[in-house]
Amino acid sequence: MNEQHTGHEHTGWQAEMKVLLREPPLLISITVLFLLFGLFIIYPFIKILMVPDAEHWMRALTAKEFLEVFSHTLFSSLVATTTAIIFGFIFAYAVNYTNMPGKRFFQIVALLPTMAPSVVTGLAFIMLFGRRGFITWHVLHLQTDLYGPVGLWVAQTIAFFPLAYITISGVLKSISPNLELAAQNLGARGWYLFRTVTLRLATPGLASAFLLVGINSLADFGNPMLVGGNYHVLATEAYTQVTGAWDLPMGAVLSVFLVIPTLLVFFVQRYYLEKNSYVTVTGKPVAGLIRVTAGPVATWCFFAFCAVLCAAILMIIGVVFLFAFTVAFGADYTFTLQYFREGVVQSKVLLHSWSASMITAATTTILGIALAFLTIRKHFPGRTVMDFLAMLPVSLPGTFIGLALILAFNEAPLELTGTMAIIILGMTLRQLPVGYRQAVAGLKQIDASMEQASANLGANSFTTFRSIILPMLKNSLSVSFVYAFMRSMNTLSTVIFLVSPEWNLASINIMSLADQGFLPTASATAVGMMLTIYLTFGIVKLILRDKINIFDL
Amino acid sequence: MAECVLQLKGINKYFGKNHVIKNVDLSIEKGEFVTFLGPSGCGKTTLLRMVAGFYEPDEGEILLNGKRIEKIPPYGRNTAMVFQEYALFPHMSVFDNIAYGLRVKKTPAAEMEKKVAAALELMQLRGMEKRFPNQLSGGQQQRVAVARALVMDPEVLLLDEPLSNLDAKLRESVRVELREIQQRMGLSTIYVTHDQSEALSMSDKIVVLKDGIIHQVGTAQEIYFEPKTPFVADFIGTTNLLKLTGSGDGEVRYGNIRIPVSRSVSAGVVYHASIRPECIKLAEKPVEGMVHVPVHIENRMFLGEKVRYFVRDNNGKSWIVDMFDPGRDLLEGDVYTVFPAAKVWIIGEAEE
Repeated sequence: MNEQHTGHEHTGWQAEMKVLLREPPLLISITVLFLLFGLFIIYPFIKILMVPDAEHWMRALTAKEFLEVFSHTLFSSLVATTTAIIFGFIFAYAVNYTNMPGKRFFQIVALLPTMAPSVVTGLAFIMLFGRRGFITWHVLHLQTDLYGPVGLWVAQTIAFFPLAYITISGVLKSISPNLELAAQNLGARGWYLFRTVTLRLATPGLASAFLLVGINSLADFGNPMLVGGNYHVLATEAYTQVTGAWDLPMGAVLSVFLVIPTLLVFFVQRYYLEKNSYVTVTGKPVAGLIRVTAGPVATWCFFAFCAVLCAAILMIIGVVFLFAFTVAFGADYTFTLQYFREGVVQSKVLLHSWSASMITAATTTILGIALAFLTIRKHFPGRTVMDFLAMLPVSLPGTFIGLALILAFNEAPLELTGTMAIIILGMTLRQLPVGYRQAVAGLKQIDASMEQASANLGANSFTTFRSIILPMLKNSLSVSFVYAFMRSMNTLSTVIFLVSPEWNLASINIMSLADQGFLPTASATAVGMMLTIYLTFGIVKLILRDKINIFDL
Repeated sequence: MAECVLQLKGINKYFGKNHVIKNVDLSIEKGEFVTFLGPSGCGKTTLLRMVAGFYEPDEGEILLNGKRIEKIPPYGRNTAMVFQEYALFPHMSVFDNIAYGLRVKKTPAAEMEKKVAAALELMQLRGMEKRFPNQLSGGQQQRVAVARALVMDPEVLLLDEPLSNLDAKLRESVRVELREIQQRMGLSTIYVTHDQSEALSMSDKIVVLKDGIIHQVGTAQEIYFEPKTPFVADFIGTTNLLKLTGSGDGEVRYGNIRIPVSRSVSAGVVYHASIRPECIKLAEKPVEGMVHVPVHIENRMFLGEKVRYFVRDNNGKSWIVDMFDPGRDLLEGDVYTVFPAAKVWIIGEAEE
């Protein structure tokens, strides 16, 4: 961290410790946070490593079935990530670099899938292209079977395209338009300009986006479960081992293997890509200058591409709605509310999902700001460890977190299995990095001199925090609240091991209903979920009266 | 009459409802160093960007060597620009940054290397060609940005406040250097700045802009000594703006003080006039053949080479008077401002 931000001139942990001992409240909160981290992050992860014995590890590394699962996982996520990134890049480029009509519409449609669990893509895929799929069976009269790698590839590409688009759009926006203007000024244009400037500047960001999407598709659980068929990947295999074969240690081994690549990605990103980013050395963009670099022909090609992609997304959302509100879509088109009643009104799952996600969002937001304040503004021994632990869960697949938690907390004194608490705990762990990263980004934008000014005018640390920092962070806090809420609502892999018959969640219910063939009810639940997310956004927006716009990316 | 490189004819530009450039006409001769000077928001940068092709004028023509270019995209103009923030490509070495435009033009490798080497030499960047922009100081980055534009051998070199990110000392030396290179190469140059001392010290011609209107075009001396609008008089340097009433037969009055002027004035008409602080002296007694205004000294500042006095006359008008080579004796109390009538510059009729 930056030395000059704190105004302290002490260095070395002994000096830092001395400062800390003079501020008991600070010392206490740091200690409490470390204890929480120890109990809820470090302990479960040690536990999950201790449960399997040598024989399990050997079997996972030698048995043919598991080796096949490894290669499936790597292969399927690699191809899906590649296509999702290519689609996302073209889309983001079209939105940021052309004058094509309907940009706003495209932007909104592209983000629609993020408001629903990624498994909805799989659900729609079954309904459209499955054995009795609307298009394959009813329209084309084909007897195809797209379950397996191809189906998984298509479903995951669509499911992870929005994430790729959001990330890459952020990367493109961070490129100073001045650089492209300078290149144009020197005579460069079209493909040459793109190749020598835009693409080169975006490369580190693209690599980051690739890794991010890669982690997500690697750890994806719902789509492989629904459309993967017999094509097993690590996440689904771990689940099958635990729930089908009752082989908990084997499940643990597999989920640990799932962590290895994601941890690797985490380290690459943290210690290599961020240091090699060009974004920080470019000047501030000039207001009012809109970069338009694509010619008319290219613009219409981009338009066609975006239109096709958006049509696919709308078809997915549309088919979910149609299945939810007709008696038997494809055969009987009579309107009905029966499924909606079954899946939403009479079911408690949505309420469970909503309350767990709200609690998670509040917790991670508050925890995130507290952690960020400590790591950015205070010097204390173990600061980098705290920063590392707060970011670590971002690289941990949900199945791993879930499994680690049930292994760690299934006996007294901390018997949490089968409770709402363990669900919230899992969600909170998973979302903590989101809240933390937002708060860090927000805090870094607030100059430390403002806090010093407040202190100089006689305010103590607490007053400064409440009256200066919190109001200035309002926007980034509401963003992290909303994202944590949305992602908790939609998560499947984190909670798959944590739910119980008593405390079931909507995302899980959609998947199991779809898996058992109750497609209309699954669709109705998905519709209910999307509506719940939209409504909650609306309410949060009204309460906070902020200007954040989730579609404004 | 020298050859005209660039002509702007009847340029108008709107940003939404804002009329940011109003009927601008201007011509720039070959080898001329022209400065667009004005406060922020005056339209100087907008005008420059229109020449570069980043904006298209809503009305009017831009002619480069007699050819209309306002529809030609930026990459087809050869109007290399030095950006305020330099806009160096962070992923390219100094060499590659400078060579970028030549590579676009598909310049043969040997010629390209020669040109880049010459530019490196000229900008005193030799030995730095392998470094990256983030390994350079602000001053060095600025040199690379200039070199990158110079190798293009532009029809018009455009400079957008290129010195504003340098510290004061460096700014002054770079100023001299830039002007020297420009004169040696005979480059037609447009320089945008809000810093009047940069404009006065470097330019062949200064274009003073405010609110999208050209207030005056002229040499440094012309805009300093013969401002055409009160804004120009006030914006360039420090001045005392007076309102004088014409009394016919080559005389104006300030209150009941008569000031003879060389231009013709109409009786009863109110004129804006300007007199520079350094043209005025303070004296305890009236001096023969000079204009005198009795004043009271309200405040003073010792600035080393001069003392700046803030005085007020009987009409309640405050004046600024600079006394050079002041020695240790400071004036106080009631005195006269004393100046030759010829130093009073009549700007024009006051609109009332």
